Amino acid sequence: MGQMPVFIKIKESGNIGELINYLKNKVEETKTTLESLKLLSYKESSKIGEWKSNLRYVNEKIDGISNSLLEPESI
Amino acid sequence: MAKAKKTKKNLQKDKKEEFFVALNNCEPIRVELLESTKMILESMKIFQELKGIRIRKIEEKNKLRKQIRAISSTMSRIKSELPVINIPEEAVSPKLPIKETPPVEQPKKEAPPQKTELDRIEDELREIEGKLSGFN
Repeated sequence: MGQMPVFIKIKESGNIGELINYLKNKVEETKTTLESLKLLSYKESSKIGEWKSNLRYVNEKIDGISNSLLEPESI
Repeated sequence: MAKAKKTKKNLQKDKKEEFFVALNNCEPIRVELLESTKMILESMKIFQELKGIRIRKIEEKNKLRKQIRAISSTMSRIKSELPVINIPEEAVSPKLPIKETPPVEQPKKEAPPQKTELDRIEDELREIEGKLSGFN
C-alpha cells in the first residue's frame, strides 16, 4: 500500500486560490515588518551606545573642572 | 533687637565659609564647560531620537501582530475550505504494540487555568506535529 495518492475535490477552487495568494502576500508583508523592527532595534542600540559615550565624556569634563577649581595651588 | 543680632551672627558665620579660588588661566575651563554643555545637548537630542525610535517600534509591533492574526485567520479559512479526508488504516504506518501501563492515580484536578493566546498556538502546533509524525 505504502503512500497512496489521495485526490480531493475542491469546490469553488477560485476562493482557495485567492486565499493562498492573500496568505503569500501577508507573509511577505510580515517579513518586511520584521526587517524594519530589526533595523529599528539596531538603531536604538547604537543611539544608546552614543548616549553612553557622550555621558562618559561629560563626566570626564566635569571631573576636570572640579579638579581645576579645588586644586590647593588655586586657593 | 534679638532678631537683628541673629542675622549679624549668620552673616559672620557665612563670611567664615567663603573662600576664593584663583583661576590663572580660565580659558580651558570655559572651553570644558562649553564642551560639556554641548555634549549634554547632544545627549538630549539623542534621547528625543530614541523616543521616536521606540514609538516606531511599537507601531511596527502592532502592525506585526495584526499581520500574524490575519495569517492565522486565513489559515483557518483555508482549513475549513478544504475537505476532511478519512485516510484508510492500511495507508497509515503499522501500529507498534502498545505496552499496557498500570493506571496512575491522578490527583484531583483543579479548575483548568484560562488558556492564553500562546497556549492555544502551542496546542495547535502539537496537533500539527502529531499529524506530521504520522506521515513520517
